Amino acid sequence: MSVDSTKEAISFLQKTNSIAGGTVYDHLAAVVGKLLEDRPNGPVDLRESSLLVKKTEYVPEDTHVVPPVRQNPLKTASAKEIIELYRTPEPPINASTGEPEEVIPPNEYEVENILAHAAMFSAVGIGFGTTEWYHTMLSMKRLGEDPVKKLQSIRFFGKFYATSADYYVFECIPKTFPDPVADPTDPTVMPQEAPGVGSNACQYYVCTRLGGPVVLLPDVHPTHIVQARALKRLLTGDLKAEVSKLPRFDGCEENYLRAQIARISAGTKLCPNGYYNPPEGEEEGRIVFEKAEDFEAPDPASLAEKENWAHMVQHIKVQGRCVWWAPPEPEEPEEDAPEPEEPEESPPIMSTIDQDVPLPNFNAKKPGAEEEEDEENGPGYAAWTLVQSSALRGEVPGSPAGQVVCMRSNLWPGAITCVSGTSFGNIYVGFGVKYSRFLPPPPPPVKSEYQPPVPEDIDEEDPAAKELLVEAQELPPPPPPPGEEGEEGQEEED
Amino acid sequence: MPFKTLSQTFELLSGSGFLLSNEQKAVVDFSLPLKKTEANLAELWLWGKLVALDGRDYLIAKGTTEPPCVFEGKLQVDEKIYYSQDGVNWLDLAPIDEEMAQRASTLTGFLEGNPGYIYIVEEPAPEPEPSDEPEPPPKPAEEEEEAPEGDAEEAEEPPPPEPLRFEITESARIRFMVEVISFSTNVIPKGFYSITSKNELAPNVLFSGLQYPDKLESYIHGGLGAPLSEDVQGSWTIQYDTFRGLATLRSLMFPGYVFVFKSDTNEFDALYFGTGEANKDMMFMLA
Repeated sequence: MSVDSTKEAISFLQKTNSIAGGTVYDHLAAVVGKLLEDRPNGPVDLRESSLLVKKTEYVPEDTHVVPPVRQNPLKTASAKEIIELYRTPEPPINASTGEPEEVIPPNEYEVENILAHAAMFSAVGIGFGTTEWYHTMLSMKRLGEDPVKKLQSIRFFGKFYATSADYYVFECIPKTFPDPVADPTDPTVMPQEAPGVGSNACQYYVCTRLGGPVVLLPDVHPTHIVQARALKRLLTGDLKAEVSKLPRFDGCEENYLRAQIARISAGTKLCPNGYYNPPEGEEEGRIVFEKAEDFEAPDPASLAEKENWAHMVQHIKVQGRCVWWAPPEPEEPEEDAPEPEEPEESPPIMSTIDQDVPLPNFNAKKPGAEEEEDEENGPGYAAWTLVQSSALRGEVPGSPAGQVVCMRSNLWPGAITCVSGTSFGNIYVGFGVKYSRFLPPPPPPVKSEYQPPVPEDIDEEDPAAKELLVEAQELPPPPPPPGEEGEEGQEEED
Repeated sequence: MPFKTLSQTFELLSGSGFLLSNEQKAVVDFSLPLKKTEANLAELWLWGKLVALDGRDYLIAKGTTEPPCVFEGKLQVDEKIYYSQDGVNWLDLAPIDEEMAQRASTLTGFLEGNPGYIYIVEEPAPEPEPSDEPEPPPKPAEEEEEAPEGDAEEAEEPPPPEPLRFEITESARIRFMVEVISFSTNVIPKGFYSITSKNELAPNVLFSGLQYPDKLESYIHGGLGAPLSEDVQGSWTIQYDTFRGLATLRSLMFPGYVFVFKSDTNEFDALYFGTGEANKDMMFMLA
């Protein structure tokens, strides 16, 4: 063969095969090399050798095997916070004397028996795992022992899911409420309820991680409640995040969260009827609860009746407060002043849940429901569902005083109240939204165009006055007739 | 694959408030494997819980007789769905056809708690076929109301046909809900399953974890589905605990669906606990 054809043959053999990734030339060289290395008995079995070469060739390429992500040793902050919950903080060393400072004795406080309640909730299937309950309990302990906050009692309100982090909410009553906010300068503006009164009867502390920093939510203002009723929003996990521009919400996420807590608490915090003596102080909004001495563990069968559950929190009126507020009557009533509104009558505290308004049912008519349409409430869903811890008949031996009976709210999905023996507990676990369709507000009315003020005593017949009128209406001057436009028109074009 | 034991599932998903009552947890641990043997299923797992109005919630389990196979680029899955109200007896949920699914999609509200409960769906009757006689001139409805004395011709018009009423049982509605939610969720870590030489979908033996477990792109719908990042933006929340290597995904379109993935053991599971309805107000609720 001539030199050119050899070169051509070699270059052809060296063409890269796109599938196998190698060239015929390299493969032939590898086969010859393997033959010389192994010196098999039947070297004519090229095919076998060729196959072996192909199979044993290792080409490091991008494999799909990805090394798993190991724990980033720097991001142990959240785990350390949890561990800190178990430790008592060491007293800081005073810089000048070099000795540990005096430890302020921890605060004395009352707290709900959260672990016993956790057992009750898990018996009906709500709650978290044991680890999370334990850490919740430790967070409450740390909150209660804090000598600065000086809390009287703490209760775990519940957990709100948010998009980037979850909120753990603790309901607290401090030993002394702070002084009420100074009176606003304008007495016709509705004030918020004073600390310790009505919807501000409790304070709420919030953290996004158990063991993390705990923040006090600001007191709720009636405007927040009224505006929150028109909204349906998800929480984001950042307390200072903006909530909504339309429908308008005057505040950030901490105000919205506080308003939702107030609404959920007023709508779903229950107790067994008869657990407390009839509370006093409803008119002023400062409710004082006294446990009834002769309260006996209710029979689980009787707890199936809705008359045996009562609301523990005052009803929030349409205006956003628990106690009615009306603006002070002006000294000289105007002629056209509207009559003062009648105070809204709310169901009293401790009203039983069988009187709760049923939820609307939007399905098509049930068979035979046409006769019921004339009734006041119409077909609807009950606001509460009874759930029992055991589907078995008869008493379940060994469980705390028989069955755990739970009332689950359908209006606020995630809010439950459990009763077991003589103890009861409330908890909310959910997104913080009501079971209702959102109605976007209609657009505001179209504003009318600007009407320039027309002087009142003008005589329309007077030509001078007519000029004034024309000027007042801002009509442009009439255009000059086309004949005179000549030079002016050219100037304007420049 | 779902976690080896139900208790492990609950321990990890409990952060989202999902638990069965103690009694149900104890009985489901036994009744599910028993049902699996009795029904000759290859896999049977707990799918979730649908909340009912009278407190007798529906526990839902899904099972397959053979692994899903890939045919012409699509996944063929033969799933059987079972429900139980006490955790002891698991009953079949019969499949529904498209027409019934279409009608079930118009139903809203809570489930009642009785599988035999009947919902009525009204549909407007089809328009009557045009007759040979010339029709009376059509009059707008307003005029008919304002001038009831009208012409003699109006009296001859037939009354509007009554709407058709279809009955949907609650078990059909449950089946529809489970299918709809599964279609929109059914989250799997990307790369977890691979197609074998028999065109079956099997766990990928070489799966060694997700490179970015805190990103939605790492999770896909079903065996061959699209990544979650291609869903409506904001309809999934993802929280990743770097220390424990635990990714938690929650659906906002179907609130109550929770998916967890553990990075160190490469295991995942998901459960649904809710009313079964889609969140129609989701777009208003997002920031």
